Amino acid sequence: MTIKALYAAGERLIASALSAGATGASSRLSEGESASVTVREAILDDVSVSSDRSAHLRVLVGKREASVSSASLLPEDLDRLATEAVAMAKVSAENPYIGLAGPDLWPADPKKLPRLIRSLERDDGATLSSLETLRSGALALDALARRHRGVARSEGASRSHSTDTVVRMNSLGFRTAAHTSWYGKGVGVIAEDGAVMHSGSDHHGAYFLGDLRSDEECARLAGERATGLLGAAPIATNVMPVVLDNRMSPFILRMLWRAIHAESVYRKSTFLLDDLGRLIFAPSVMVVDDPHVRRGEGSRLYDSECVGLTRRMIIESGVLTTRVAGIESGAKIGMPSTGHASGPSNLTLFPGTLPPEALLRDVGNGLLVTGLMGHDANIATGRFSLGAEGYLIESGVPTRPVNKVTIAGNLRDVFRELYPASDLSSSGSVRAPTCFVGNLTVGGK
Amino acid sequence: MEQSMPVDRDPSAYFCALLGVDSDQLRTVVSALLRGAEDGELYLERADSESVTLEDGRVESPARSITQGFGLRRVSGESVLYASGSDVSLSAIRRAGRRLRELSAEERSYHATIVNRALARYTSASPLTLPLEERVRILRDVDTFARSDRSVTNVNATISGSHTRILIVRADGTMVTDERPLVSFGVSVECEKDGKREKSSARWGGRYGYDRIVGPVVWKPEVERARKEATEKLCAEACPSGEMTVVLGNGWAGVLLHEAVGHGLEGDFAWKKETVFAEMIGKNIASDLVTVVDDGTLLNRRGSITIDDEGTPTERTTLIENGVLVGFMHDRQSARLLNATPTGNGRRESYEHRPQVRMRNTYMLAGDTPPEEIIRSTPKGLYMPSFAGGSVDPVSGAFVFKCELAYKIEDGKLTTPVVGATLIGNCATVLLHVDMVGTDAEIDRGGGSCGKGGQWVPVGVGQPTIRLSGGVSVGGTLVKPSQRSE
Repeated sequence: MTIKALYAAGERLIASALSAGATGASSRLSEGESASVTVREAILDDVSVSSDRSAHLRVLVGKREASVSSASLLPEDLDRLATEAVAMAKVSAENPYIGLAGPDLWPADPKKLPRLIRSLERDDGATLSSLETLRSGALALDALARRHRGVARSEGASRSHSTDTVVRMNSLGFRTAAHTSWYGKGVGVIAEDGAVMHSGSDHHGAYFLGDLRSDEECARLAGERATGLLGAAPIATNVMPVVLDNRMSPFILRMLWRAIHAESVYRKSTFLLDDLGRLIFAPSVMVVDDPHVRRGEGSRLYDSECVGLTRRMIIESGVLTTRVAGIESGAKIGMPSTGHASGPSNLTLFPGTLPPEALLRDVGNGLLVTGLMGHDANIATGRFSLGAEGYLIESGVPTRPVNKVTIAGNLRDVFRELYPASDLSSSGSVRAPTCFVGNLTVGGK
Repeated sequence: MEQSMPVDRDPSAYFCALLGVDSDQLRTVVSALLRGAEDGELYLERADSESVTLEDGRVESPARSITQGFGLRRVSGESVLYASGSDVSLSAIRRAGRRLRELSAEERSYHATIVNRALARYTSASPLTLPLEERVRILRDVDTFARSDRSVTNVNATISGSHTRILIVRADGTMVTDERPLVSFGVSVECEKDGKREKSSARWGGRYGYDRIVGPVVWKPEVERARKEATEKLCAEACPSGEMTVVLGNGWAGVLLHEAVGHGLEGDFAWKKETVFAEMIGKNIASDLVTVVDDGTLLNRRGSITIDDEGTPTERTTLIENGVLVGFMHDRQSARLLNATPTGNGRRESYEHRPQVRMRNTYMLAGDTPPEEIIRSTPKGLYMPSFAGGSVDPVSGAFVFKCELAYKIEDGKLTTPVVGATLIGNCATVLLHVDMVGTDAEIDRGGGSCGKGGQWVPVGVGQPTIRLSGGVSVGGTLVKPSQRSE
């Protein structure tokens, strides 16, 4: 289907909704293709190809709204969908906080958007990879991973490629299309020690094929994660210094995000209710949300409500400088949308100057966490308790592997004590370096 | 050719009309597309779903969606090749078939099967018959009722329903259909005391019409229970840490069973040797008080299915009998690779996903100790009536559960409520520590979903009250007995 056809379908949805009595409407049309191949122990394990299309419409009738979606883009189905949405909105109830983004909230004049979107470099323009190409890539990664010292076998190595086109438009005149390409690779391996098995994996994704980490690194990381924890055992319950490695530390930023979201503030269900403008981290801590990083995983010009985003300091010199919101959640606490109806863009905790090894030396004795299991923190109270595994830190170096323990504490204390090392990870949209997070209750034997 | 179709007919008529063929022509197309494969099928699905939510006393964004699509699968030995698309047309399906042949050079002969006629486990009627105005009125009633207690600061309530029609066509000419209703009601209540807020929620539903879930006799006790729990959390203490005796409540607490042993008994993990139980058939993996089944036959349950998503009729599969592992759950592939019989556990989230071995309603059968007796005979420990959820790594066997509200057991009595507990342990050994099993076996009220490999399916869990005298640790936020964490 051409992009013209997607635009035509979006326009038809909005026009039908308006003629059925809607006072405003927005639509999202998407079309995508994907292919992935998994090889396990040199045998073809799984091949998946897909081709999907969908239409989504949100209508407003005054301050009432409804949304509908369908896989069919046939004109008569679109008309029926729009009429149905308006009928649903009419029997819904008023919501004083909803709205549609007008030109003042858009990232730029829609005519300039195509060039700006291209400048984010989220599309390499390539046609979908052949299954044969993906298979040979997966075979190579599977073979490398199995050669890693101590690895008993592979759980599967994958390569994938997808392409997507998303058209967004609203009845106030916003209209734009974004193309994205996405490449992925990943491998899981198993290490054995008698009857005990440990798995380790590594996954990486990027908009450009050339930005994927090498097979060698992927295989090494998976192998190290599987073999490193062999012989792990719980330790006795105690309070001790805890360090999260740079794969686990983004947990802190995800919790921070939820705690400063307008919705949580409106519900008074955040432990940071009264902390805007206050020092909640050490004065050296900085956190930024930057939507315009070239090839950045979370990069975008606008959110799902067509509201533009800009680079925004979240924590500046330890001080909480902003809350984050979409149109509706923002209106609930009397602030404008920050363009975050679809979550954070590229959320980053600035690295410090100490290499992680030096940070561990400073800590002396404690627990280095390399794996977390379980659920989120209670944002209303800041309380958390999670399953953890990792290494005991003795005299400044990681020594024996530890598993089946829990770490528990309060996010407010973690924020206050947080001290970042210099090793900011290179993948993901929420990134942080290895961090000291204070003294936590480590529950074990 | 795409075209609009009336949907009030049986799935085979609906899809044949959509594709512009009769059922014999469709059989011919599928057997041609799957030539050379050992197994596989064409899966066609249309799902209609709707939901409406009330929050802060306001109805928020009622939604309705229609999805439809196909999934074509070729299975040969250990390999699964899957192509899916939202364009239900012969040309798109044939294109998908050609794409898969790019990588399936090997020629095998198809495993023909005779599929027995399945007994329906629920009505085929669509539940989506209650007008939006009615659902909105019910949500308002729930809100008003919950707020009759002044400590309630927020109520969130959602009513959702779906009707899914599927048609499965195998290369041996087998054609089976299913129509699956599913409705669910969820309520979350937030209470405040001295500036502190806590939430508690309840969810119920099954495979029937809305009439079974929206009556005040159904929702009033659920709302009352959620309100009571939220209030208790407000005055609860921090949870202690360490190894201790734990008593688990009946019903939903069976999610521990689902995570801790259920996943490890899925046949795909078994043939890949990615579960601690892979070589344990015939061995004791639980105390002899424990018998566990996975059952798709229970009428109208959320986890029940008349046929699985490969077309195999459902059954009641015994997994652990008096402590001994007697069998795994299988889809067609894992059964073939492990020389077993398919148990009807091949399930998928939607047409976009290949089937995997998945649970249905997984539960432990009742024992003979009254639940009060279990508490009474426990001098010191922790009672966990329910869990907020959990996860497991089947390879290492490690599991973690979150318990929002637990109670200390002191001298055979439930005493102080505690919050923030995490329960951790290992699948391979946890059930060996079951030393008491209650008489009060119960299946959960119908709110569970299980995720595996990026796919979510509705499931049921259940158990009687049970006691674990070891094998698990509790992680709490209490540092020293004299010091409160907050």
